[in-house]
Amino acid sequence: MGNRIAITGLGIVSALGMNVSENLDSLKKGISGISSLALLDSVYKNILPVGEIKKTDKQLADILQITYSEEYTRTALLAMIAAKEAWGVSGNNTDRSGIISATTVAGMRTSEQHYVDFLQHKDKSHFVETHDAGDSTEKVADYLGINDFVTTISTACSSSANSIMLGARLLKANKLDRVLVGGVDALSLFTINGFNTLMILDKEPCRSFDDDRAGLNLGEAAAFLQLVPEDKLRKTDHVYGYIAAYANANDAYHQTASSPEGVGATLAMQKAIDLAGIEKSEVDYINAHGTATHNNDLSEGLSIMKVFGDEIPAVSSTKPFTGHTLAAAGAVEAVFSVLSLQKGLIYPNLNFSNQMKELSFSPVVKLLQTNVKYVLSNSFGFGGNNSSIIYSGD
Amino acid sequence: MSTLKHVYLSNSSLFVNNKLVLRGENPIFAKFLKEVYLYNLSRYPKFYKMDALSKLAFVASEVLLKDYKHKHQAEEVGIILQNKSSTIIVDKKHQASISNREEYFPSPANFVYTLPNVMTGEICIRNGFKGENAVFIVPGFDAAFLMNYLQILFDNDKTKMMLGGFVDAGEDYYEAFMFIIDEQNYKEIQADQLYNLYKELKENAETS
Repeated sequence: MGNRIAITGLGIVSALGMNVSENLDSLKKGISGISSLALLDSVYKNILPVGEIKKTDKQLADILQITYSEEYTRTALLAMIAAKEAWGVSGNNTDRSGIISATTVAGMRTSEQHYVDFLQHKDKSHFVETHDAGDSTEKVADYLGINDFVTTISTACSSSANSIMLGARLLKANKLDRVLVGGVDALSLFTINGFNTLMILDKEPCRSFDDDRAGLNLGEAAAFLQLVPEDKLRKTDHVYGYIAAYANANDAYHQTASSPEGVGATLAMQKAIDLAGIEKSEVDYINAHGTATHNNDLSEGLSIMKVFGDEIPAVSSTKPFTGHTLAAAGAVEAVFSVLSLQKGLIYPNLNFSNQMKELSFSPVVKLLQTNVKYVLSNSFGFGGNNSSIIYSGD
Repeated sequence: MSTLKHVYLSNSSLFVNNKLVLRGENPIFAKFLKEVYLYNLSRYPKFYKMDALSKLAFVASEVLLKDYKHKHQAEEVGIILQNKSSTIIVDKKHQASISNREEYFPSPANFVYTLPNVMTGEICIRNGFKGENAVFIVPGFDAAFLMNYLQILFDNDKTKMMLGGFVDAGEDYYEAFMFIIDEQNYKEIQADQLYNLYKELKENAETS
């Protein structure tokens, strides 16, 4: 395997809680973070449930012990909280450190409040600076003093899985000594209205891999992992797990939809298993993308069947806990996957009741306590940007 | 450079391997694109819903791949393009539909084309390519960067065959330079030669 990539820090803020232990606690208790929208003024307030973090921007700034100002978008604040937890103190004093963050919504939540004013009043123009995708990454980089490599990835719902992959590759190529990887997305009218026009939002809490599923719930979150190549580990580093392998493959099917038979998803999972050099039977748990849209769960389910055949490991989607956190999803589920390895837990797929007729398997519905050595986590983006990452415990 | 199949489209002219094969009768970009499409390419109805940039890249790739014999699986083929103006034509169209308060209708049909890598996506969808694909925005065709990137892919056994090039379009200019490179010939192609070829084609198109 050569020089393995160790995971030496975890950080997360989601509708399940403001740090790793609060998130783990909700996962163990089976308490979903899906609720009514409270902190954003939308006509869909009491219609479309969401995975919302119930803290105002001012409260988020207080957690960070910084003075709240318009310089910080909600996206940046969420990213800073999760990044700080993952970077800890162990990240400091690194020779060559980097950050790769992912976002799709960027500063849109703020921009959309002021959009009409921008055109007439120059005094709102400072929000333009916080609009682009790189802004939240740069805020985190400044806050933590990470400055050797700073970049942002935006590839729809596989964004932060791809930032984890890029980080691992930079370490393997010896371009960096330590890297913070992850992603963030805040809820915004833009995403709620946009996904609503696509008619893929469920008015009920989402039901991943259920025959009666009716779409996804959007969520907001930030999650980060600190990565270090094994030969650069310090005595003070705590190793939570390893990145065993990863792969990204496209569908070559449609600009905005996945192929029904999941061509790219199959390729991504298969390539990741090959790269890990393990037997597919060694995968103990698949943390599925499982958004609960018709299209995703069908194509992902069929590709799991294609890759694993008769021996399908435990599968569940944690989207019914957090909502679909878009660019953050890959990193959120990376944190959950590492916790699964560490604690020997397989999380329940909440809200499941009806077997999908196209599939030979159904998801895990109760929390399982078992030995978990390999977790495969899927993140599939619009138009078939498919990423699979395998995490291992030792 | 004789081993490299390439096409160049600009100024109502289509060159294949430096030979002028089509001279458009109409100076209008959209009409010329349609002329190239109708110029013995196979029918592909999705062509009509593409934006101008994707149409340009698409017809270039179709001309390039037509009659090109190779033994590679589509899944092993990828495409790396460069571009200067991103998707400015469709961006302006989309912005106009947002700014118009009376007839406010930001069309999803335009929106999906407001990313330059949609042009590589269209080509991948058409041909079933599943290899590396990306678009890099650069101030002008950067042969050194492109060749370096392609060579890394071949050296690391990530691909067997690639399409590469520079595809760019704005309100009153457009050009597409595209070539096929494979595991056999990639080492023979030097970035400066490639750049000189591009310059030569550009000059030929301007004076044709």
